[in-house]
Amino acid sequence: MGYSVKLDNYEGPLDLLLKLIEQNRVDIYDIPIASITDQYLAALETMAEVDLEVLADFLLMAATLINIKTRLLLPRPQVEQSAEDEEDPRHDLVNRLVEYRNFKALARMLEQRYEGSVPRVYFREPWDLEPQKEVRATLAQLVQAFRNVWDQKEEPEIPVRLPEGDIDIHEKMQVIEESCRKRRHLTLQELFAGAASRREALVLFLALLELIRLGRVTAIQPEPFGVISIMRTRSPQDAD
Amino acid sequence: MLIREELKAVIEAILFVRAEAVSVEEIARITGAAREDILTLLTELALEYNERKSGIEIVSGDGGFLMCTRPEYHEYVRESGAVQAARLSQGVLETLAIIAYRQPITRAEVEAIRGVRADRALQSLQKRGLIKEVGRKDAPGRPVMYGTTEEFLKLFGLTSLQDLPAVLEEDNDD
Repeated sequence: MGYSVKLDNYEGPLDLLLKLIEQNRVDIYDIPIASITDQYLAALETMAEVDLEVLADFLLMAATLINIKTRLLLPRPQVEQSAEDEEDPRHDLVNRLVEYRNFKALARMLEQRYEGSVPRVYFREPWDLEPQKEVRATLAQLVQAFRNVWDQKEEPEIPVRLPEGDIDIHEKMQVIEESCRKRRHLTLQELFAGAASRREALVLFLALLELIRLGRVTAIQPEPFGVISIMRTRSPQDAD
Repeated sequence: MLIREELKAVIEAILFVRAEAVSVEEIARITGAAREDILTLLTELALEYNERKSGIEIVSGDGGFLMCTRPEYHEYVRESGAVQAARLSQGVLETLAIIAYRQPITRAEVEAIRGVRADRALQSLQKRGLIKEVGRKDAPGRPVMYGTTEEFLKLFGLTSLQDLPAVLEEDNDD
C-alpha cells in the first residue's frame, strides 16, 4: 500500500491498528493479519522522530502481530480440529481493539460534552474558599515594621531648628497614594526611605494608617515576616 | 422559625450561593428545619423551575442538590464564555474516559487498555483536578487506584457518575 502514516498522529499502536483496519475496510473480528502486519511495519519504518518510550509501545505491538501471523501460518494439528474451543490466535488482540475502540468513542462523547456541542448542563464555579496567598498585614505587623524603620533612622543633627508643624498628614497621604499609583507594589521600606527625620517617618506612618482605615490602600504581607507592600485598593474610579 | 415559603427561599439561596452539591442534612443544619420538609421543598422548587422552563434547574447529584443551567439553552451558555476553553488532548481524554468508566483503576490497567504509557496523561489529569487517588489495589506493589472527582462531573455537565452515557458496544469477550 502506498500511503504513509506519521506515528505521532496516533495515540498508540492500538490506534494505528484501528486506523489500518478502517482504511482497509476489513472486519475487526476477522482481521487479515498478514496484510495488516505488513502495513503496520511499513508505518513503523516511516516514523521520523518518536521518543524511545513511544517506540517501545509500537514495537511491542509489532512483535505481537508477527507472533499471531506466525501462529496462523503454522499447520494446525488435524486431531484437535474438532475442538469447539480452539482459540483463534487473534482473539486477544481483537478484544483489546474492540475495548479500545469503545473507549475512543466514549472519549469522543466526553469531548462533545466538554466542547458543548451536545445539549448539556453547566454548573457555576463555587466560591474559591482557598486561603488567599496574600496575607493582609495586621496592625501589629505594621507597627513592628515601623519600629524597625524608626530604630534605623538616625535623628539628623539640625544646626538650625526650623519651626515645626511643617509636616502635614494630608499631604503625606497624597504622597503615599501618588507613590502607589506609580508603582504597583510600594514596600514599606521604600516609603520610609524618603523620610528625613523620625518625625517625618511618624507622620508618614500615621498617614498610612489613615489611608488603610479609609480603605484607600491595603497593606499586604505575602509571607510571615516578609516585606510589607502597600497597594491601592481597587475602586470604580480607577477604571479610567 | 421560618415559615414554609421563607424556608423554600432560603434553600434556593443556599443552592445558588454554594454552586456545588448541598446535602439535605446540611440544609437542615443551616436552617434548623426537618429533613422531610426540606426534601419536599427542594422537590417543589425543582418542579417550579421546570414548569416555567427557567434557565436554571435544580438537579440531585452524588452529594446532594445543586443548580445548573437548563440543557435546552446550552448553546447560549457556551457562547456566554462561561465555559473553560482549554483543550484536553486526545490521549488525555481517552485516559479520562477509561478512568471514568472503570474506576477505581490502576495506571497499569489504564496502560493495558490504551497500549501506551499513561503517566503523563494521569499527571495532567491529576493536576487539573479531574482525577484523584482513591486508594490502593490489593495486589503486589499495592498500586495506586484512580477515580474521577467532582470537578470532572462539573466540567462535563454530569450530576453523577450514573449520568455517564451507556457504553456503546459490549466487549466480545466471555
